[in-house]
Amino acid sequence: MRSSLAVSVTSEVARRRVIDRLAEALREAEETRLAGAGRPAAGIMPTGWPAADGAIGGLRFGAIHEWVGIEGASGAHPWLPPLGTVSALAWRALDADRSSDAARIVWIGRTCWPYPRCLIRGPSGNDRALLARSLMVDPPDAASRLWAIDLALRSPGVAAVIADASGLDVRASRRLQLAAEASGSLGLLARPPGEAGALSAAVTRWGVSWDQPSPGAASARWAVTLLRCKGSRRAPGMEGLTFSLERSGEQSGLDLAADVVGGPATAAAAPGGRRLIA
Amino acid sequence: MTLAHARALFPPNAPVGIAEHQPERDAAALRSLAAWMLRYSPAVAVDPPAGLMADIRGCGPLFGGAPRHIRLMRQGLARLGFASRIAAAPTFACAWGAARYGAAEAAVIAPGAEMSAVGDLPVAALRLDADVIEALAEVGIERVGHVMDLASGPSRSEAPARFGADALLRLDAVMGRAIEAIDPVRPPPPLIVERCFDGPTASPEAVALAARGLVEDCRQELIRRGAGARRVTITLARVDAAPVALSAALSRPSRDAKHLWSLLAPKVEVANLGFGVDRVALEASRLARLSHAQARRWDEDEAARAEADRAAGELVDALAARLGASRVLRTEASETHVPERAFRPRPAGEGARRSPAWPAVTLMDRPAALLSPPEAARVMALTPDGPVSWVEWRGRAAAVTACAGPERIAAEWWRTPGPAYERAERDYFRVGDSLGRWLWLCREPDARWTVRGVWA
Repeated sequence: MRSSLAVSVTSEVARRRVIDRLAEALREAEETRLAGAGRPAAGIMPTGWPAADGAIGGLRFGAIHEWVGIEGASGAHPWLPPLGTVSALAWRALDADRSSDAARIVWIGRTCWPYPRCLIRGPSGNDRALLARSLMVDPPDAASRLWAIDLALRSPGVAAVIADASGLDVRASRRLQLAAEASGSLGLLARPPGEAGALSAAVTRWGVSWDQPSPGAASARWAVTLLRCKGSRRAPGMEGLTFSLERSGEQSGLDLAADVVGGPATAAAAPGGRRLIA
Repeated sequence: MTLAHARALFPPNAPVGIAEHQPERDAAALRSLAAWMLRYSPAVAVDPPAGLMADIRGCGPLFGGAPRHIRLMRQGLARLGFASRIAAAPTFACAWGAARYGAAEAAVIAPGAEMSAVGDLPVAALRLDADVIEALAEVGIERVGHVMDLASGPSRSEAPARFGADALLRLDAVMGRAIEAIDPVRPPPPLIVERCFDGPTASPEAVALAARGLVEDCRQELIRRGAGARRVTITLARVDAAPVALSAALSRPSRDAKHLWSLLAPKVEVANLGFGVDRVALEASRLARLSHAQARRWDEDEAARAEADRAAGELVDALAARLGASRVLRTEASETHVPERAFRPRPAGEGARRSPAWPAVTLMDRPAALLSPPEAARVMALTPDGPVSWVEWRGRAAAVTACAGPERIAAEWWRTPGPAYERAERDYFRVGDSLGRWLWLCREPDARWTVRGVWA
């Protein structure tokens, strides 16, 4: 009688222990879900361009990346950001986000709105995920544009923010970098060619320009230069890396056309390249 | 008709869709139609299975007289896809019979003309039970007029014993000698919560605190109703001036107090309180069903999806609250080949209006940047209609290394005619020059050359 009682007490204790353990596991699962909202805290998004991925692995989430190009303003005509390149990256960000399948891509600033045809892909134009999940924002002035970029970067429902960042000063760029770090989202900021040397807190800065035409080319080619890169351990001295991009048959996909044409050695020739690292 | 009978009416192997009759859904639809009809009359009652009774006494002048009133109702119902028969009469019973058995689809019966309107109609127009109609038919009473004769004749006292009291009672209702009442539908009361101050206060903190409390009250009420609001309005009743209404629109129904307050707080903070506010009210409108959902924690993908969707909705609301709904847009493809019109911006806060069947889009190569307005270019071609050999755009000239085209895009003649050249055809060329630029050149109908897009 006594022994059987002891057994039941032990099993009671063991059961309580099991319940406590389960409760702890539940609490942990709950807290990770609340904190992370399903996204890896610090991932790297491969660009799909072997030269860039080989050098620095891709674009880091939770950071802002600057894209300088491609035509400056001329008279009353606005400047033109490298929309083909950033649209290709928007597709990559969308593909990287397949897990949640609901996060938005936010385009801020009318200059940065691409023609929506490049938000559609597939042989019969049936993949319209980017078109359906794109949000176009048109802030009336620079202050509200900065506010909108900050808000979008902090939102957990956003996969990538692509924004017109012309005239961004270093304090504002630090604020945006902190916002991206806080939420782990990807910020792609386009800047006019004249601002290739501006100070900023961005993790990478890329210059996009027209590539020398090759005879018989049937579509546009761009030369992409890594002007600046920090915070990536694998890329000491990778600034100045230059490669060419060409549109592949499928529109909005960008394939690497040529191999690395300029290595770190040519960095001094790249406008504003070395000066920034110092 | 049985199902087997219905099937037999179709040719063999014809695809026949079969759906079970659900009377309760019919009844619910009729109730919501009655609520919709409240725009034409203050009191509308359902009359199952397929009728509505509306009290339009006194409404005539508002709608320009009974005939026009009825016509508006019929037009409104037709827009919803319903065929209708409507009669306006001095009594409900008379209108009931005339609408169902009268010759005209829309009839207005003047006071005193009840009997002439329904006299020739079958007895069923009196809304009698089937056995009473049968009993009357056995003695040859088939028209309402016959019942009338019976009622005024010497055998009136015998009639109730033979046919039941109903026939004469219904006749009296038609003639207005018996009172008939309807039980109108009542729309759910608007969701308004309010707080009154002891006296007027001009303290922004007090007003904000009261408003914050109202948002919490509103959330409780929304939970009780199982609904979410798509629009919230705070009204500040000022002692010396007209009340201030501050409203926020949401892209999807919500009852998250924190989110609602984040949209309202900036507006409350800067509101002009005048000499004081003595009442704060919050109204939640455009309610939509928002049922309780169990947290699906074990389905990580589903949870992440729902979370991202909710966060995206809140982002849209926050952006639209500060920038205005017309500056936060999503894009819809539309059914046209004119590049400027092929995609239409829509406020992101509104739900998608179209069904998932997307319109087709052109799969031709298009530049990533479309210039609006198009920029002037200078172009040289060796032959008048031949390929382009030299181009100058934005002050830089270059020889052309690649030229594809023309792609001729005609304007849509079925649209409202604009200026003559707007309706003509345009020729588009994809041009690469020796600077590496790729431009979408256009030869306008007036022979000017423009750059309409850039593969930026």
